[in-house]
Amino acid sequence: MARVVAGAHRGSLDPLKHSEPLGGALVFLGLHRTMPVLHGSKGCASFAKALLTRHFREAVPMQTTAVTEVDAVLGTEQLLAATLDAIAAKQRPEIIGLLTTGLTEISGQDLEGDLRAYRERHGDGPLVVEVSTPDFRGGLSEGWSAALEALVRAVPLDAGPGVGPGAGTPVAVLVGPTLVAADLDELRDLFTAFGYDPILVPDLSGSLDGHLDDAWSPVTSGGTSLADLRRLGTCPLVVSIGTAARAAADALAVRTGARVLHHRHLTGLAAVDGLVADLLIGAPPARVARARARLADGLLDAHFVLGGARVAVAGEPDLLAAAVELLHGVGAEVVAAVSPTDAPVLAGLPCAEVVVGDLADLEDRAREGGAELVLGSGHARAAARRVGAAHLTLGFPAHDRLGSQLRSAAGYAGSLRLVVDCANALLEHHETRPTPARAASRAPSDAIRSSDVTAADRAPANGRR
Amino acid sequence: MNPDVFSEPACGHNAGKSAKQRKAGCPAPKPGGAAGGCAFDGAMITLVPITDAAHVVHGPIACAGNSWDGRGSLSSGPDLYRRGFTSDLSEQDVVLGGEQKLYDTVLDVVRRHRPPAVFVYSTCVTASIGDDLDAVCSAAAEHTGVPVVPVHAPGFVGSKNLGNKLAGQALLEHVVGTVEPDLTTPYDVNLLGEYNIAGELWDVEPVLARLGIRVLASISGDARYRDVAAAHRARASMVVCSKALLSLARGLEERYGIGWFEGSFYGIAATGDALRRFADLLEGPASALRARAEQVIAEEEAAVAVALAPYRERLRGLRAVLYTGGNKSWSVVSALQDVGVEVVASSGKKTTADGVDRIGELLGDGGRVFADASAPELLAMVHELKADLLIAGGRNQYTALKGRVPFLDINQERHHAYAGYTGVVELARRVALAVENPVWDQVRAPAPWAPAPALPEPAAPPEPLALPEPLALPEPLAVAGGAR
Repeated sequence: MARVVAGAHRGSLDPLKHSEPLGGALVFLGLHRTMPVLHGSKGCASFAKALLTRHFREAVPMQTTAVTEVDAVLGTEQLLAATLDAIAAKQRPEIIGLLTTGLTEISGQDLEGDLRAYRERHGDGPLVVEVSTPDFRGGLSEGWSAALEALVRAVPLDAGPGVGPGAGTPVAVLVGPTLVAADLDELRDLFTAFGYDPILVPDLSGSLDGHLDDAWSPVTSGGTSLADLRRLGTCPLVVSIGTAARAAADALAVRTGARVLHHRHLTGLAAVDGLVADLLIGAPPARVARARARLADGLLDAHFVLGGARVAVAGEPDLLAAAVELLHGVGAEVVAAVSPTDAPVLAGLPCAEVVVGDLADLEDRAREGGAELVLGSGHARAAARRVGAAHLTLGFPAHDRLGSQLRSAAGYAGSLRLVVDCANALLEHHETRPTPARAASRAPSDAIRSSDVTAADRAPANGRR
Repeated sequence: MNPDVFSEPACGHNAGKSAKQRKAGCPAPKPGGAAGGCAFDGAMITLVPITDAAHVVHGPIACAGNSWDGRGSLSSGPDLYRRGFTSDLSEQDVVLGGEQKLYDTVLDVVRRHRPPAVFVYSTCVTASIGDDLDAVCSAAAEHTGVPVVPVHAPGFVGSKNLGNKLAGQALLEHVVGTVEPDLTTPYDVNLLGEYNIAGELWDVEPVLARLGIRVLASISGDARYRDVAAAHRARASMVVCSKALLSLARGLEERYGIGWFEGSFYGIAATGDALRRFADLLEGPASALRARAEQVIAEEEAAVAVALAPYRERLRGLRAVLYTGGNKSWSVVSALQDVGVEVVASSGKKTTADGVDRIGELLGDGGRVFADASAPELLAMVHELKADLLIAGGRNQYTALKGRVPFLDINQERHHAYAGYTGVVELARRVALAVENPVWDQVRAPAPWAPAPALPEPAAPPEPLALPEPLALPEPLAVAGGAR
């Protein structure tokens, strides 16, 4: 159990936190033929879009209502309607995710009222899902959580669940923000291997995994389709992976009367076993058993390298939990664990303390704790360098490395990849560290000699007998 | 806000407007079609490259959280500008006011990093809730003994360009003239709007040095606070590829009598022109400096011609669509023509009427000048005009790649320096690397199961921008105050 403490700064020095609208937009980016719209100043969208583009190395659909100073005072109803009309006519999405920002939240816009008027005039337009995501509350995970919950509450559902669960049963799999495309692939495969028909919501592995289509699309191409979202109503089982998906899973289960199962994350032997135990019908498929055996073996190999290693980790709550538990599980010592926002999952982590803070907190604690390895976003790279530790990119944004969507960390295979990458980063760090000079390396033995032996014993070496 | 920023007399946009248009200010974005950054973004672009200063954003997390360490402006020393500092307002701060939190954050930053100065940026939320930025800044300055400069450019007041201007105003009001330089020469100059993207400044400075010209302040690229604060001792300013900092140039002229001109370092002709203009401003057209400039230009041009010869051969007949803004839309055309590329279309967005004329002249009869274009429109144009590559800003990069079109980034996220004589050669090299890369043949080849290569369906191309009647401007880009 960890003590959850506040970081050292009133503001944020090298922020670890990202805004709620960004997290909310990510949910909509994982839906097919969708356009996220940030209801705020146009910079709100352009900054978010630029950062997402750097992270995914993909064109990222995103629009803005471009609220000006004058709109903020006089009201945004007309602006909102005009923006939605323009998007519906030009980019033709099936779903529009409308996310508020700090600006539109404080200027007291009646979003629901504005939308009601809009919907009365345009009944047959795209499904508009509005989400309250003020920048001054929560962070990426909370924005994700709010958007996912708003989505499952707003989406029209097909008729109620059948009996089950059993083979071929559709399962609603609601995921958190810390799973990359490769994780989602493995998750889908796991359900399919046990004979289920998983509907992943959202599914960034279909939209922003980095794939070359035949044509360019102004809205998302790939991700959970509206038809699949409707089918959530037919799922007798709802599974959440990540605590950021928990509220949405509960809301869906309440709507449909389905059974609901929660998993905090899917990293490490025990975590994946937990999900597999839920899905198990008879004997496991051979490839699942094989993947588990590989992970078990990999953990053994890695424990020689990571056992006793001092590691600092920063990330969104679910990812932090995943990494800390995986590393603790091979004997590493987590000397710093930093989360951008507080969350119930943090108190259960197997380290002394979790800081709700920024990357300056990570840097200070990593230095004090003598960290050899820092796990964190691309932004944490500079801190790791200043501390003199190895860095492994984990979390958002991963703008410092290619292939962020292929770097899995969940499932048997993903967990294996992460633990192997951690071990290799540490091995490389030790290899590239300058070897101590010969004289320096002899110093300790000299010191031992001087304290353990008498002056008389030492005399011959000095040649003064 | 300073109303001057909307009625800048030196801005060519305003010269061509009626009184009514001028009153209306810069154009507002269309709903659903808005793209690009806000005023806060613009202010950060101008000031963050003051590399040894701390830049503190007063607002909720989005403003700093999504933008910090995301800019391509390089430093030769300090890297404090790459850190992200923000008051990170919570819901409670929004209700009760965020002034104390901002004050504490400035103190935290000063204690931790001992910067020579702190810039504090307001945002939409803090401007709306009425936090007194000026009061907090002066209190923090008094307590720490470090200058704390308020920058009033909340995102919702306008575009990125407006933010550039507001940042220039902040420098004029609070920074320039507060420090005397340790050393001055009669050949000290300021570069305004040179952001040292990918190290471009470092290709320009040595050429200026050959003339004996020293860059006192680059506002702002690889800049130090003390140098910017001493910019009033320069003898000439050059506004580099930007209308946005004209008001700063004019302010420096009015307050400190510093003559200035608008120019560009993109292309052989523009670079030579800039050197001549500096010589003329500093010593006059018949001076020894001007003669030295002519000699340096001749030597540099001869060297560049040799370096470019093989590229001109390789790139002959290559067709490009260029999509950029401001002065770059004609100066980069010229640079591309230097390296042998035929520019078949270029945009006239954010360019003045005479700028559009200039593009038209440079492109000749076959070239197309267009207004704004969306990513699919750009792709359609590339296909229609049978262009070999798209040269544009990073926001269009992935669209080009999805269309399997070679791409060169020309805007602020670019990784390569294209300024000055060295930059022209680098531009040639990068164009060649982009179009000659073997990857294109691979990704254009059909999959084994596809009957024919699946190329994207071209969308309708945008309407060509009608060339306006030539305007009765004094002289294209010859608003050089110092020449008066």
